[in-house]
Amino acid sequence: MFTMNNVIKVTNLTYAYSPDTPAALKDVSFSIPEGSWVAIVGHNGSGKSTLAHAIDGLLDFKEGHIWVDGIALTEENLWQVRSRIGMIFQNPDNQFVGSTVEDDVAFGLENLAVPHEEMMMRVTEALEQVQMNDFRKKQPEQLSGGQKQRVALAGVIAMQPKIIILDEATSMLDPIGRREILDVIKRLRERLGITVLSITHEMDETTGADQIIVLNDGQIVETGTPDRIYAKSEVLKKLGLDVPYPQRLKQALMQRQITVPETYFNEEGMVTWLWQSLLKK
Amino acid sequence: MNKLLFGRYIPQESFVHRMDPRAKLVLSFLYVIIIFFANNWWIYALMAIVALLSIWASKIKPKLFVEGVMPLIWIIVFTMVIQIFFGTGGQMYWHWGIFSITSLGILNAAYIFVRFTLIILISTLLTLSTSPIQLSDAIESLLRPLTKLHFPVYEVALMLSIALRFVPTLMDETETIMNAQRARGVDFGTGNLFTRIKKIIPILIPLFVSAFNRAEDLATAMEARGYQGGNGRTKYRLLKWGIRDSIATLVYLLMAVIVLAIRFL
Repeated sequence: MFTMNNVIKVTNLTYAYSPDTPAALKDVSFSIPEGSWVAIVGHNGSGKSTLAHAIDGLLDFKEGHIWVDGIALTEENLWQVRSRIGMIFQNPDNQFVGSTVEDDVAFGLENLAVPHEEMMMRVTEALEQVQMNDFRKKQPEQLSGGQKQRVALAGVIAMQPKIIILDEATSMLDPIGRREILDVIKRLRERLGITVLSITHEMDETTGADQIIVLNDGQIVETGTPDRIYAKSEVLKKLGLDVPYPQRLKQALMQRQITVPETYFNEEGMVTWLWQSLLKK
Repeated sequence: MNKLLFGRYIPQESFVHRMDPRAKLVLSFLYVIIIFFANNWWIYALMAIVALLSIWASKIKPKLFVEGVMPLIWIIVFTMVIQIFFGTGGQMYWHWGIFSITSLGILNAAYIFVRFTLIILISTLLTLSTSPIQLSDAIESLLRPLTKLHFPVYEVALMLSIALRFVPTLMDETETIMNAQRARGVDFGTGNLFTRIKKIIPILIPLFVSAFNRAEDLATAMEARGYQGGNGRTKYRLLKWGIRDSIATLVYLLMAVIVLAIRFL
């Protein structure tokens, strides 16, 4: 993983919304290898959304540097950087610009001055990827929250970015809608090798990640693979975060004096271990 | 609110639906202007035939058009009553103080009824057969010459289409806020005018605040998707003038010529 290029690099980023308020980000540095899935977690107000906005050049930060795909984020390079990043925000209603599904998907392409013929093709293709092609003439109020987020995702896919940032993109969805969005992104990543940066406070969403960055009060407190992060359940609890379901089960077993291995299990691993331990008895 | 016909769009596959929205908009305007030249029953008959023909070509149920006229029936009746009682000229049938009923007054009232009805029919046809997006596209395209005078045509069109797209969203939100306030004990249905107006405040303020938040979110999302203003953008939706538009234009122009000929020759 370390041999890969870092597609996002952030050094010493510090940002405050106004001079009177405490800094939302304090001396944040990290880098993200190309093609990886990185989850940034933290409770509300930990600065994770601010960080996502900063990477996309939506904030005017004074201290620190950001490189995206080898390009330094400056005022001159702003649009070049943005064309490499597709961002999906939290509220499905508030980011729906178009009057219909297809108009919304085309909005980004119109901004890139893509010719009409190619635009038609790319819109259809993107809508097929998220299985929304049958809905292309529908208006936003005829869609569910999950469907609207799938349209937002199609809008991003059509622009063919190298990086997708999910800024709590699933936090307003029901469990089914959330699963659907994450599945589509997973498939897309396998096929096209897109880098995904997902920002969330839902720990269950981080299980597929290559790396987790834990933010608290604008600072990075932990960085590591999911196994490593989940094993520190006490630290996470102190930060107001939960652990994924298998880890919670493990803790409940431990409370009932059942010895469980230290390492983290995903759901499958947990089931296997349970089967095996019952067989031994 | 569901009863309101204005701005409602009935999707369908028909001659009128497939027309270029620019043609529909311009022809509707032409119709309204021409109808003010009408001053005898032959002209009205001709224009009624054109209107009914257009409605027939749209395949929309006639019942919807009757519904479109209904909310305005009181205005029509009111204007007719004024015409009947205050009209002068022609043969006098009845007279009392300043009121009088004359043959010309009755004729004018009948003209006004037909004129109103036809204007409403044609404008209802326009909104029923053209989606709001198409209308805003048409307005943008028709205003394009104004860019030479530095009028921000693209920005106005964008505002229009965003406003139209958020109408149902904000309606839903109003309903939610109203219900939330009802659950807290606000009774919107009672009180005199002054207390009723005061009760609107707990709806209006949250609605405003949320509209600001939405605007900020939307602006951020638009910027993140590369929106840099109207210049240098390509368009996904293209308006195309087709054979239907030429046919309809011909019919309407023919009607206009005949009407003007009857009127002035």
